[in-house]
Amino acid sequence: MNTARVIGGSALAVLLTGALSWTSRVPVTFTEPDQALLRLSWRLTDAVLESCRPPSEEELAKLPVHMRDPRGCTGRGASFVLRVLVDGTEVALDTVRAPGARADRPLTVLRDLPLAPGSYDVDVAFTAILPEGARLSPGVPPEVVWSGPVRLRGRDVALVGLAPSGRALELRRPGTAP
Amino acid sequence: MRRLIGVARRLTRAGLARLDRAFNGLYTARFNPIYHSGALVVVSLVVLLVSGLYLLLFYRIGAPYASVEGLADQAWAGRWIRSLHRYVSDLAIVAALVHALRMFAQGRSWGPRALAWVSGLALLFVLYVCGWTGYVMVWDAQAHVLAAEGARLFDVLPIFSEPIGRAFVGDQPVPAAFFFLNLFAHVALPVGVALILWIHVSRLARTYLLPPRPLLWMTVGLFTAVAVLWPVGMDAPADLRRLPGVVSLDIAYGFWVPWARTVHPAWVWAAFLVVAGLTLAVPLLQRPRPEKRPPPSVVEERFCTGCEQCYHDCPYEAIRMVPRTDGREGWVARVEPTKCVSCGICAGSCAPMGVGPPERTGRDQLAGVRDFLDRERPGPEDVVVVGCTQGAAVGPRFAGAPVLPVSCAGSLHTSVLEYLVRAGVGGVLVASCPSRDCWNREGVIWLHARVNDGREAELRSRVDRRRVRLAHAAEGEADRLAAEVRSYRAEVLLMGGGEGEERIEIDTLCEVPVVSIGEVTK
Repeated sequence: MNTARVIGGSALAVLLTGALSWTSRVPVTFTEPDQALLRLSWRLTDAVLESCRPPSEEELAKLPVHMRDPRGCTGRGASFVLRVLVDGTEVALDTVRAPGARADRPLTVLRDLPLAPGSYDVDVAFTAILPEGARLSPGVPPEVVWSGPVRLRGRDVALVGLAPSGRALELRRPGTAP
Repeated sequence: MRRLIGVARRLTRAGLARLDRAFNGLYTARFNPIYHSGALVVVSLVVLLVSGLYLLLFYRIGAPYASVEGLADQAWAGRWIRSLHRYVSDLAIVAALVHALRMFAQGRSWGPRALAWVSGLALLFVLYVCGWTGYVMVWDAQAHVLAAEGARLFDVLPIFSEPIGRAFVGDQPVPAAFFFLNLFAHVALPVGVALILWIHVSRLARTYLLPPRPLLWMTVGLFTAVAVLWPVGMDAPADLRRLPGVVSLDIAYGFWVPWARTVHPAWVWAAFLVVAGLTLAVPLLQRPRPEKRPPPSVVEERFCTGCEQCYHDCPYEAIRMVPRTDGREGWVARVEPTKCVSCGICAGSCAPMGVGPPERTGRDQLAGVRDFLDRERPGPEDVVVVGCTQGAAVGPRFAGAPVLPVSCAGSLHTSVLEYLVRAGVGGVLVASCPSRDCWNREGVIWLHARVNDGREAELRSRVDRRRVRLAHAAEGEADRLAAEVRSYRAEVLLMGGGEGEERIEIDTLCEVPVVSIGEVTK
C-alpha cells in the first residue's frame, strides 16, 4: 500500500464519516419568523342527541324485562358547527361530527389556522346542530364560544381550548406552556 | 414496469461499478466498505446496542429532555456515547441502503433469495422506526417535529377515534405514559431486529456477519473519534406553544419530513405505499420469465460418490445428503430446488462431475472448452482468460488472450483449467470477481482452495501451476484486468509456449472426502 493510497484512503474515510455525522444534524428551517398559528383544540364528551318516544304497552311487552325503558330514548352523537372569525372575516366554517362507526365517540376539534404575527380580534363559536324534537344530553352546553384579542409574535401558537368548566372556550396565550 | 426496473438496475449497477473501482483503488477489494455494507449494518447494531445500554441508565421518562441534557453534559462519557449512538444509527441506515442497492443491482432478490430481500426491507423498516422513537425520546425541537408529524400522518387513518395529534398541542403536558411507550418501543424493537436478522440470513450457509477486523475497528474508531471531537449538541427543548424554527434534523431519518409538512398526509401515505409496494415487488419484477430462468442444479446419481463436497460448498444450504436408493451403499446428494439459486458452485465442487445446473455441469464445461479451443484456436504463447460473466472479463477484448466466459468462477471445474493447459495454451488466467463481491457468496473462495490448497475437486498436481493464474477484478476494473493479462502474457512468453497433448483424458475419479457432514468448512 503506497503513501498516496494511505493518505487518500484515510482522507476519504474521515470525510465520509464526517459527512455522515453532519447529516445527523442538518439545520432545517421548519417555520419562518413571519409565521404564527391560531390552534383550536378541545374534546367534548357525552355530546349526545337524545330523541324520546314512549313505547306502547305492546312494544314494551316484546322487549326483555331488563330492556324495558318507558321513556324510549335513543341517542346518537351530536354534530356541531365550528365558526371562526378573525377581524370579522370568516376563516373557518365546518361541521364537526362525532367520530366512530356509530358516531358515539367523543367529539374532538383540532384545527390549525395559520396567521401572520400581529394582533387580531378572534371569535370562535362551536354550536350544536339540534334537529327538531332532539335535545342534548344534560350538562352539555349547546354552544361554547370565545371572543377576544389575540396577539401573536413570530412562531407563536395561540391555543383556544375548552375551559376546565367544560361550558366555555378559553385562550391559552402563547408562552404559557403547561 | 419490468423494463423500468431493468433500467434502474443497469444504472445502479453502473454506478456501483464506478464506486467499487474507486474504493478498491483506495482500500483494496478486501477492505472495500461497500462490499461489506451488510456486515457494517451488523457492526452498527452492536455499537447501538452497547452504547444504548449506557444511555438507558440515565434516561428518565419523567424528565426526558433534562436527562438527555444531563448526558450531554457528561464530558467524559455521556456526551460522546450519545453522539456515537446517533452517528452510528445513521451508518446503519446508509449501510443497509447500500446493501439493498447492491443486491438489487446484482439481481439477487428473487426466487430463494426473496425471503432475504423481503426480510431485509422489514429490517430496514424496523430499524427506521427504532431510530424515529430514539429521536422522539430526546423531546427537543426535532422530537417535537417528528412526533407532531407522525401524529398528523396517523390522524388521517380511520383507526383512531380521536386525533392523537391533540397530545402535542400544548394544552396539557405530554403524559409520561407517552415517553414510557416510546422508550418501550425503542428498547423492544431491537429484539425484533435480531429476529428479522436471523430470518434474513437463515438461507445462507456460513453466515458472514462481521467485516474483516481492520475494517471493523477502523469504522468503530472513526465514528468514536468523530463523536469525541464533534459531539452533537442539544436543540432547544420541545415547546408545543411555539412553532419549531430552525431544527437540527437527522436527514437519514427525517429526510421526508420537510416535504411532508407541506402536503396533505394522504400524499405522504401514497408515496410510502408506492415505495413500499415497489420495493416489495422487486423479487417479482426482477424474476426472469420462466423460459429464461436459470434452472436449479440436478444430481446425476450414477456419478455421485456421496463425497459430500457439494453439500459443504453450497452457499445456500440447498444440498442435503440422503441415503441411496439405487442399490449402492452410502449417501447421495439431493438438491432442494426451492433453495437452489442456480449459482453452479456445486458443479465446480464435484470431482466426478455429477451435479450442477443443466448445461453447466463439469461435463458441459468440458464440452464447452473443447468448442472454445476449436473456435478460438489459441496459440502456445496465448493466454486464455476464463472470466466470470459478472466481472471485468466479459466485454473487453484482450490482445492475444481470448476470453472463455463462465457464469461464476466458483462454478468452474478445475478439469477445464487442466484441459486448457494440456491442450497447449500458454497460460490460463481465471478472472473472478473480488471475493466479497462474488454474486454467489463463496465462489472465489472455493476456486482458490481448489486451485491452491487441494480442496476436493482440486486442480491436479500434474498441471503446471505456472500455467494457471488466478486474478480478480470488479466489474469496473477492466483496465486493471487488462494490465494483469499483459503482465501474465509477458511471463508466459518468458517461460516459453505451452506443450499440447495429442489425446487428453480427464480423470473424474473422486478422492477421499476431506470433510464430513457437520464439520464446519472454511
